[in-house]
Amino acid sequence: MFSYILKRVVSTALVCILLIIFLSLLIHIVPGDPAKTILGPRATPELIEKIHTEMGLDKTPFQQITGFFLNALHGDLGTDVFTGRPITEMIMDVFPHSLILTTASLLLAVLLGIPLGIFSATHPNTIGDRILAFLSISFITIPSYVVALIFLLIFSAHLRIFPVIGLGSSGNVGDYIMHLIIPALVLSLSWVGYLARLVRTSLLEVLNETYITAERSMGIKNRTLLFRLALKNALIPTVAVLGVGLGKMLAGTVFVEIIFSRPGMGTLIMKAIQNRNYPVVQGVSLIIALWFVFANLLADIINTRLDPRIQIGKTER
Amino acid sequence: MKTNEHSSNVLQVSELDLCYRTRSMMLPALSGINFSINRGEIVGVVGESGCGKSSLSYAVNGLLPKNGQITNGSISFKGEEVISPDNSSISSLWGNEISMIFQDPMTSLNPVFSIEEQIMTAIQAQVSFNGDSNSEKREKMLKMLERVGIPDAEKHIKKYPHQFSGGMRQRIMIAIALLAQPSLLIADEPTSALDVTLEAQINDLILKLTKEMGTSVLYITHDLGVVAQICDRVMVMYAGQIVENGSVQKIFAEPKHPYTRALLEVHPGRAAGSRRLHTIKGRVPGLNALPEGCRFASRCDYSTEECEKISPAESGDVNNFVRCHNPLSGAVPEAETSNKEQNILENNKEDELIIDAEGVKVQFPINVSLTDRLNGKKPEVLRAVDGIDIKLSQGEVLALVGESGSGKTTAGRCLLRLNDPAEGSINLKGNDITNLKERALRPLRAKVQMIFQDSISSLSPRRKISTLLLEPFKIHGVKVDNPKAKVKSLLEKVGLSNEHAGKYPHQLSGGQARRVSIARALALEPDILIADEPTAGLDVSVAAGILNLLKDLKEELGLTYIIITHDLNIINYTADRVAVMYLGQFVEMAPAYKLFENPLHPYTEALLSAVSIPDPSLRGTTQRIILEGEIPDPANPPNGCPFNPRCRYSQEICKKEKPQFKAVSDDSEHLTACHFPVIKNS
Amino acid sequence: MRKKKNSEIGVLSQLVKTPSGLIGTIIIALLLITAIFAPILSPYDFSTQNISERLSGPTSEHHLGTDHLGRDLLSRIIYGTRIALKVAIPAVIISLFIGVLLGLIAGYFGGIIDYIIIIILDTIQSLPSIVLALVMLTLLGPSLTNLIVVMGLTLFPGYSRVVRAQVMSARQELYVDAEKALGAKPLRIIAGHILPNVVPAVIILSTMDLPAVITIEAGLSFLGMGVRPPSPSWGVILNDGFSHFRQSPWPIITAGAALAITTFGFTLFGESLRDILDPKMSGMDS
Repeated sequence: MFSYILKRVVSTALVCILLIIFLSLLIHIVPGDPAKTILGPRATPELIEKIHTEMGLDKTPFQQITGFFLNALHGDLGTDVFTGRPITEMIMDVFPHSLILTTASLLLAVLLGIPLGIFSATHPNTIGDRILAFLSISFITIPSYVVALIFLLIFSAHLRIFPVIGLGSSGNVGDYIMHLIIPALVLSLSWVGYLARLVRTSLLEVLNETYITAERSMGIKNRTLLFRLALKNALIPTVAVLGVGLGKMLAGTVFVEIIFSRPGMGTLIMKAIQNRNYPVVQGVSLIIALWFVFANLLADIINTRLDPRIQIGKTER
Repeated sequence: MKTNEHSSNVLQVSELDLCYRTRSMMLPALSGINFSINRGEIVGVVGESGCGKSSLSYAVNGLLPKNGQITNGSISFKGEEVISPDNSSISSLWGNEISMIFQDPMTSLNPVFSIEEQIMTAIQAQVSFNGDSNSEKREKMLKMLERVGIPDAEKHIKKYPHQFSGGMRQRIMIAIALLAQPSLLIADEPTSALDVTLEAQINDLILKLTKEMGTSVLYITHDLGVVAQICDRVMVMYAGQIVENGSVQKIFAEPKHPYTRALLEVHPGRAAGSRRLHTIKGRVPGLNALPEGCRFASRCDYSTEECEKISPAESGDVNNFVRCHNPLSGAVPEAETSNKEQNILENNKEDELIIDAEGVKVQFPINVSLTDRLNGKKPEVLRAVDGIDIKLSQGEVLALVGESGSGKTTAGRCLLRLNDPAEGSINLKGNDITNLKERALRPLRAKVQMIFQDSISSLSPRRKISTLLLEPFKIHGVKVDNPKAKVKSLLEKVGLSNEHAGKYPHQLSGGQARRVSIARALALEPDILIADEPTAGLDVSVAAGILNLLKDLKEELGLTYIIITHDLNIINYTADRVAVMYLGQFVEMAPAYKLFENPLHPYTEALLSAVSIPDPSLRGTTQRIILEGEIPDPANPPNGCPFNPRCRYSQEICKKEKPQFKAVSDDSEHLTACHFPVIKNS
Repeated sequence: MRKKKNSEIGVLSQLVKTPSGLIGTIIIALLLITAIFAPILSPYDFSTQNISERLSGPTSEHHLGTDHLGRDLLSRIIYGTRIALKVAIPAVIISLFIGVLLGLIAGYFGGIIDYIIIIILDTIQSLPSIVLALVMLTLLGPSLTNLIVVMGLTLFPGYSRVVRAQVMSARQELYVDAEKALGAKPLRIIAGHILPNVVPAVIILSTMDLPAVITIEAGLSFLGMGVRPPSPSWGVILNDGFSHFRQSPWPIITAGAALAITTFGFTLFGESLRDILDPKMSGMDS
C-alpha cells in the first residue's frame, strides 16, 4: 500500500511541476508585452520597466520558471504588481472563507446525497425513486450560477429568512453560519444529485452480487447487510467521486462568491483577471490546482483503506 | 397440508410452481416439483443449464430474486411450512438450519471485509450462537476453519478474500455454511469453477463434514460423474420439471426416462475410446416457449403422438418416480468401442514433423513493488512455460493436459507466437518461426489456427458472423467468388444453419460461438489447429457435439490438432498422444491408451483417479488419490521436482534434484519426469 | 430479430421509446428549430433599445418582459440559443478531434508515450475547467473565437481518457489475439475492430459535453470573460439581470430557465443514448 501511495505522490509531484511551468509559460505565449496590457493607456517607459522587474520579465523564461518554482516551494508566490502585497498573504486572507464554504457544501452533499441514494437503491422503480431520479438529474444539470441567482432573488428581495449577501458581521460566528447556509446549499446542489445517483447505482450493483446473496443465506439481517456489508463496497466509487468533488468545488466558489459578494478565492481571482493582474491569477490558480490534486490524493488514500484489493503489483490473478 | 408424514423428512416439497415475472409475461421456471430429503441424505440434482436447478435451490432457500414468485405448492422444513407471504420464517432458518455454498468462490465472499469480520458477522446473526460469549464464538470459528482444512487459522483470519486461492475460498465458504451445523446444506455446483484435483478435495470435504454432522445435502451439479461418486439419490431436471427421481444405484443401472438415459450416454467418461460420442439433438426449450405435451418430446428418440399432446404425470412414489409416457427399461448399452490401438496413426518416424518445438520457454516479468526494489530485490520472471519439446507429425492429435496455472494455454499460444518464447526454437512445417518478424509470419498464420477457450470474446463484438467468417480471406487477399455461398458452406461445415450469418457474437449460445470460431479457424484450410479447452463451459451434450465435430474434421481434412484441456475424460476420445503439464513442464508424455493404462507419474495417476465416471458401482472400488494442497504459485516454484510438495511418494532426492524427462522403460514412446515412476507389472 | 439494430434510424426510434429519451429529443429539436429560425421566431430585433419600457415584466407586447435597456427578452433568449450552439458545437468538435487522436496514440503505443500523455492530461484536468478557461481567456482576451478554442482545449482530456481506456482494454481482448492469429495487420485490427468499440463511447461523451460547454460558456459570459455584450448570450443576459436584480427578476428568470431546460434536455438525450449504445446493455435480447 505504501508503494501505491508513493507512486501516486510521484505522479502528483510531476503534475505540480508541469502546472507551474504551464502557468509561467502562459504569460509568454500571449502576444504582446504583458506590462503594456496591464497598464493600458497609462503605460510609460518607466512604469513598464518597473513592472518588468517586478514580474521578472527581464530574466530569461527558464530563470523565471525556476525562480517562480523555487519561490513557490518556500511558499512565496510573488507580489501583487499594483499594491506590492505578497500574493501568499492575499490568498491566506481569503482562503479560509472559501475552504469553509467548500467543506460545508461537501458535508451537505454527503448528508443529503448518500441517504437519498440509499433510499432509491432500496426502493428501486417506486414512485419515490422516480421522483428522486428526476430531482437528481435536475440538480446536476442546472448551472450553479443560475441556482445562485434564483436564490439571490428569492432570499434578498422577497423572502428574508436567511441573509445571503456577504460574510456577516465580523466576529459573529452565528451570523457567519447563517450567511453560509444558502451559498453552501447552492454549491452542494449538483453534488447532492450526483451522489444520490452514484450511490443508487453502485449500491444496486453490490446488492446483486453473489456475496450479498451468500451473506443473506448465512442469516444476516437486512439492516446489517445493507448498512454494514453492502454499503462499504458501494462507498468505494463514491469516495473517489467525492475527491474530485472536493477539488472542483473550490473552483465552483467563483460564481457563488461573486453572486453573494463573499470574499474568497473566487472573488480574488476574478478581480485579478479584470485588472489583468497576472501574478495573482497565476498564484491563485496554482493553489486551486494543488487543492484539486490534493483532494484526489486524499480520496485515493481513503480508498486504499476501504478496499483491500488495491495492492501493490500482483501480475497474475 | 401434509405435515410430519415422515418424521425423518428434513425437507418436503410438494406441487411447487415458480414463475419469474417479466414485463410481458410470467415465465414458469418450475412446475409441479415434488420431492423430499431425508435426514443425512445427499440428493443430487442434475440437468443441462436452463433446466431450473438453480431456481429450485433458491426457492428452497427463500433467496429468490424479487421477480420470482411461488405461485403454488408448499415447501415444508422439518414439518413446518416455510412459504409465507413475506418469507419471514425462512430467514430465521438461514444459516442455522439451511445454508448454502455457491458456484464461484471468487464472487461469494465479500471482498472488502477480512475473513474474520465476515465469519463473525455471520455468527452474530445466527441464533445457535446466542448464548456464547464473543471469545467462545471466536473459538468456534477457529475450530471450524481448522476442520475445513485451513491450518493455523489464527494466522489467516485477518486476511481478505483476494489473498486466498479459489480452493481455499471454497473451504472458507463451507466453514461458514456449516458453522451452525445446519440440517440442510444446499450446494450449487460447488466445484465447477475449480480444478479437477480440487474438485475431489472439496467434494470429499463436503461428504465428510455433512456425514459427521448428519446434515442433508441438496447437491446441484451438471456432472453425473460427481453424482455417482457422492450422492445417495438423484433427481433429473428438465425444463423446470423433475423428470426422474430415484436412488443413484437404480437410476444409473436402469434409467427409465429417455432424458436421463441421454445424459448418461453423452457423458464423456463413459465413452472412453468410443468412435463417436452420443449427443442430444436440439436444445432445452425456453421458458417462454414450453411445449404443451411432454417437454422433452422434441428431443426424444422414443417420442409418440401422445407425448406431443399430453404432458405426462409422475408415476411412482414420492422419491422414486419417472415422468414419462413410455418409460424405458434395461441398462444403458455400452458405448461402441473401437480397438484403441487402431486409433493410433501409424507413425512414420521418417515423416517430416509438422510441428517441431524444442526447449521452449515463455517468461512473464513480475512486477516487483517499488519498496521491494528499493530494498534491493531484483525484478523476477514467472516461468509460465519452462522448457518443453513438442513434436507432431501430420494428422496426429496431441492433448496438453494440466490444471490452471500449468502453462498449457501459454504453451499453445507460444506455438502461434501470440506469446514470444524466451528460449528454444519453434519450427512449423519446416519453417523456423522462433524469431520471425510479424510481417514474415503473417502468411504462415493461415496454416496454423487457434480456437480460443472463451469463444464469444474471441469474436469481435460489433461484427456480424458473416463478416467475421469472410475476414480471413480478406486478410490473406484470397478472392471469394460468392461470399454468401462461402459463409453458408462454412457454417454448414460446423453444423450451423445459415440463419446465424446475420447475427452478432453476443446473440449466440456458447456452443454456437465455439462452432463459429471453429468455422473461422477452418476458413483458410489450415494444417494445424490448436483448440484451447474446446468443451469448457458447455453442457455435456453440446460438448459431445463439438468433440464429434473436431473428430470428423480431422478425418475429413487430415488436420493436425493440439487440444489443450484439463478434462481427462475428453482426451481418451480425441487424442492420440497426451502430454501432462505441471508448472510449465511436461511431467509425462505417452500415447493416450498407454497413459490411461499405466500412468507413470504420480501426478498423472492422481489426475486419472479424479476423473469422474458415471458409475456408482465403482464407488469405493477404485482407490481415489486425493492430492493435497494446490498448485504452487508459478512465480515461486518449489525446488527439485516441481510436484514434490504434493507427491505421496516424495523422498529426499525429489526436494533437491529435478528429475529428467525421459523414457523409463524400454518403451521409447512413454516419457516421464520422475525419480520414482509408478511402474505397474503387466 | 430486428435488422436495423445499430443503424441510425434504429437508435432514434429506440430513443423516443423511453420517456426521458423522448423529452430530450423534443427539447433538442426545439432548440435547433429556435436557433435556425431565430429571425422569424423573434418578435423584435434583439438589440433594439426602448428605454421607456426598460425592466418591465411580461406584457402583451413583450411576452417575457424587457431588460435594463428596454430590449425584448424573448427575442434575446431566442437569439441566445444561436450563440449557445455556435460555441458548443465547434468547441466539442475541436476537443473531440484532439482528444481522440491523443487517446489513440496513448492507448496504442503505451509505455513512456502513454505516461507523458497521461501526465499532461492530469495537469490540464487539475485546473477545474472554469478556472483553466478563465486563465486562458485573460491572456487571449474575450471573444467568440477565443472562447471556442479555449473550450476545445479545456475539454479534450475527457475524450483522450475514454479512448485510451477503450483502446487499452480492447488490446487485452481475446478477439484482438484471434485477429492476430489469423494474420491481420495492426491497421486492420485498429480500424476494423478496436475503433468501432470506441465510437459509441465518444458519441455519448460528446452529447454529454454539449450541455457542459453551454454551461461554461454562459458562466464565462456572465463573468464578462466570454461572449461580449451586446451579443445576447444567456450569460450576458444573466449578468445584466444580476446588475439590476432588485428592479426586475425577469432577465434572470428567463435566461436561467433557458439554460436549465437546454442542459436538462441534452443530458436526458445523452443518457438515453448511452443506455442504447452501451454494448453491455444493448442487444441482449435475441
